[in-house]
Amino acid sequence: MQRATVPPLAFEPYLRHMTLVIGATCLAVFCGGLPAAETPERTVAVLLSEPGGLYREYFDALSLSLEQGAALGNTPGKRLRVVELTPGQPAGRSRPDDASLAGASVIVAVGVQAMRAAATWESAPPVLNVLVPRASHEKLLAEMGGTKRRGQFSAIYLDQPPARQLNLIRQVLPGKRRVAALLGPDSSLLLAPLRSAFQRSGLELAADEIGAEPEIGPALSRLMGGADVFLALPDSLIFTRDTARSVLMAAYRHQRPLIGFSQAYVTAGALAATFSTPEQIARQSADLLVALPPGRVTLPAPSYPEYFSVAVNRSVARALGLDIPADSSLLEALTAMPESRQ
Amino acid sequence: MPVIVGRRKRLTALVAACSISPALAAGAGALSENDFLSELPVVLSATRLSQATGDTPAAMTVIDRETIRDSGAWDVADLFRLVPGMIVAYNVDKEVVPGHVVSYHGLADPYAKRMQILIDGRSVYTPLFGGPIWSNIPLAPDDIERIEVVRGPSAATYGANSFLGVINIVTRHPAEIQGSMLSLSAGKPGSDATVRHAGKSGAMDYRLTAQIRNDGGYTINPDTPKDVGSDTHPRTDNKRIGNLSFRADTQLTRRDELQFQFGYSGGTRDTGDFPAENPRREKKIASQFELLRWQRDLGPDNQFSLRFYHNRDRLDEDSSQLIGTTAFPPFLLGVPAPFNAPLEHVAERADIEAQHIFAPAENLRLVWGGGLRHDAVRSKLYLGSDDPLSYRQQNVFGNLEWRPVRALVVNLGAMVEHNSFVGTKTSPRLGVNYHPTPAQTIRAALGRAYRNPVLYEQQGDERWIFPVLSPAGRGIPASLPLQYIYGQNNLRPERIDSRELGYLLELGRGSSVDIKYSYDTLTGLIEMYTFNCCGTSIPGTVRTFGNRGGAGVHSFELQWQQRLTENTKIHLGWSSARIANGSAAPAVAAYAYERTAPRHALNLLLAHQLSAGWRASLGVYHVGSVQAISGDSLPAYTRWDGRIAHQFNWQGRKGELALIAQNLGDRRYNEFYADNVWGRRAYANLRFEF
Repeated sequence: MQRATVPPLAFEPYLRHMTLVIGATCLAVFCGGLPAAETPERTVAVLLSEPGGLYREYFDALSLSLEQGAALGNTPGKRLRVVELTPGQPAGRSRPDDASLAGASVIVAVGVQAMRAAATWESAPPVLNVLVPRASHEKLLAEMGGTKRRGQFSAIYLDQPPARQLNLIRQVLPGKRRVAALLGPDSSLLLAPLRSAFQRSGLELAADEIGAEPEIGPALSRLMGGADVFLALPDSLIFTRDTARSVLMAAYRHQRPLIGFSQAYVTAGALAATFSTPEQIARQSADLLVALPPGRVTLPAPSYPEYFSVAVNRSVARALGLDIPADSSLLEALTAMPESRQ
Repeated sequence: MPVIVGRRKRLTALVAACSISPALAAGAGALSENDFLSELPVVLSATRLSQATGDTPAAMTVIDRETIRDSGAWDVADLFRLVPGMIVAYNVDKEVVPGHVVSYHGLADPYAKRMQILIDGRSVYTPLFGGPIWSNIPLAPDDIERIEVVRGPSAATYGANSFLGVINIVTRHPAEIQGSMLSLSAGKPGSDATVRHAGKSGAMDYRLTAQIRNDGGYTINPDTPKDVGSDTHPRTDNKRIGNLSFRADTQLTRRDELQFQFGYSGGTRDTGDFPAENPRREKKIASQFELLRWQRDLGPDNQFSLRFYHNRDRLDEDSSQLIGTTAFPPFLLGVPAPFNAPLEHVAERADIEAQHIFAPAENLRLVWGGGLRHDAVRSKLYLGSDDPLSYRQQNVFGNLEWRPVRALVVNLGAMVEHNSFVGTKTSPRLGVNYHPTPAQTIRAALGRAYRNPVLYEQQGDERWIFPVLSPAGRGIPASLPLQYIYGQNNLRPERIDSRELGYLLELGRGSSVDIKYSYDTLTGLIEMYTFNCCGTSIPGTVRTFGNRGGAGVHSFELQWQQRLTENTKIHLGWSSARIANGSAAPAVAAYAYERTAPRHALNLLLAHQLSAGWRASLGVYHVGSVQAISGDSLPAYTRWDGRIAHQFNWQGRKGELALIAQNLGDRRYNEFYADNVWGRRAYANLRFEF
């Protein structure tokens, strides 16, 4: 792997750190078993919100999955070029430099910053957004007001489908029916799919919506009093680094199990969570890219993660006096349970 | 990049209004992958400390905020009427520390020194007389998150003097109560104004509570009509007390948390039986504390904490003028020393404790640590000198929780303490909890604990010197010493050996039934008796203390807490105790232990949400006939309390107006002494949250 770096300039911070990765790898991958010589080369450009960290983790996992896929299809071809995006373009109405995209037919935008940058490109190949929360993606689509068709600006969400979270509750806390959720500006956008998942699951939802941080404590106290379990839903107001402490402490004081949405929440003190790692999302991305038909590309509708993990905080379970099956059997049970796609 | 702290909504609106401006879009507060994938501070270490109710080696009663509100309690001590086996009695001004007596399984004297009382881990057990001064703790009931009462000795977990039981008060975390609150009460018991503000500043959450309380206590004026009760006499213990308390919790790093608290309680307390011999006067009281706690998370199931606190209690009184004006027998020339000058009593405590919790293996958890304590007391009246008396205490403790199989939990713990005036003692405890089904627990526990003598018992030195006319020569002054108390500094700690068998059924959503049988034997109980010493003028009048008593306590307790329907909650406690004196006949009649707990006692609190805006609760407290140590033999009583509350919104603020009546039927009953007669007491409470 080579890496050509341009000295970062003091420009828009997001641009400074954003990395465009040209995957010249994939090529024949898309064409399945066709002879390599007849295959028109396909290029996937990967736009990272930041050069390192979990974005790099995703990128490496994607490359690996594609290589493995390519290996299965007996199609070698794995030259990767990493290019950092030139931070010289005016914000708001930038256009991807054809040279830098190297004729990519699909862009994979990794993370919210990358998604927002890709959204500003006026004529660009279809964009598959990954590692993005559903609320952020939908909000952006709404802001763009139909200038992008969904098939041109799709996503694999980072959130778990509501049905899967409710299945987890049924597995970890059998017999508990009353689920409380606190909604903020982001999670309230997803209230409709949440409600329908509840209707199908047979669980009851008690939800409150708030608009400012000081309301969190009182709202939590109010909700937890009458609920069996508290479901945390991704939201920029309610479930942040700053508020995690008070949310978890509130759950603990009320002796209510809290179902989180990330590994970090479980480590910090939530009872359990389903979540997808960058590696798992990468695997799904590779599946999706491989399955794309040749020619002008239209992406499938946005989807929830297919590969996921389950984590249980055993200390918390013990403190709540709960006897919970092993993570592996939970995962097995959840995989077997039906989930309707939203 | 514009980061507008605290204006997140506006920022979002801006983003929506403009076309997509990436600079703004990347601003603070937008939901992103970081909310899913970045690490969070590990906060729930509290669960590692505490065990599930089914795994604790002792019976517990938990009083939560809702129960506190529903009970209509006027003060904190009132709440313990809800604990099976607990006795609460108001003791009016016959002793140095008037106020509530709270004790478990009888054996209560006016100081109730056989219970440990902790507030956020800080012991408020006073070194001079033992027990807490309930009315003088800077703690507003509104700041209490929950009270855990451990019914049984528990030194291995809660430290020295966790003898008959432990009251563990946990205060509210500032992050949970952001905003302001105002509460106003007024009625027969007195008046109270509490105001609180909780806010956030960077990574710190804080709260500040101020309270002004005018507590009428048990005041009967000479002009009070006689129908109050024919056997009562005028006296007062009216208290005017201001409290200030502050708590701040800061997340220093992802792993480190710091808590700081301070509190101040100060004011006056009236004292005195009318009329002449013990005239009405004021005592000045001031208590303060500071607490600092640092906690570091070292990984899953691995946590270290360090806690330091300092308590200071001061009481000032000046009887020199008052007593001088009253009628003395003619041979007395004036006020006896040391009452002829202002008196002060100061008790100070510094305490530091380190604790480490970790899991050495999959099925093992170990809590261990150690602490140092320094107590110093200065009281010329009670300790005979202006110099402070002090003692030190060191302890190490540990509790191992072992889960050999899923259905079995074994707790093995001990505390070893060394006290500079009573030496070294070890308090071990073993508990086995078996879960035949996940909801059921059968519990068996054995434990031993000690209560250290308090300074007044060990080194009390109270000597009154009366100036008199010498019988020998005309008009020649002489002095007549009267030694009232002389502690011989030879006491051992009292010891309790406890055996407990329990059954717990957990019914979900905080509902449970707990049945407990225990047999405790107590030895070396410290009793007061008279002897000759110290050149006193009147032989046989010097009081001292000795390890002279013993008792055996059989008790059977039942506790049922359940949410019956969505809107109805019940809390029921029943206890039966039978106490046998260790010796056939007590040396001093006052120490008739078999009468110190009622044969039967019952408490019931029923709360019902009538509609969205109305809530009602009913409390019933039945206490059988009882006679506390140095108290009077009192008949059984049943007291009915009621509370009705209207919850409303006023200009978007949450409010509640409640009417509380204790002893609804106004049927007179007595507490502690026969002349403490209680009738109906009603008051109103108005609260706002904003």
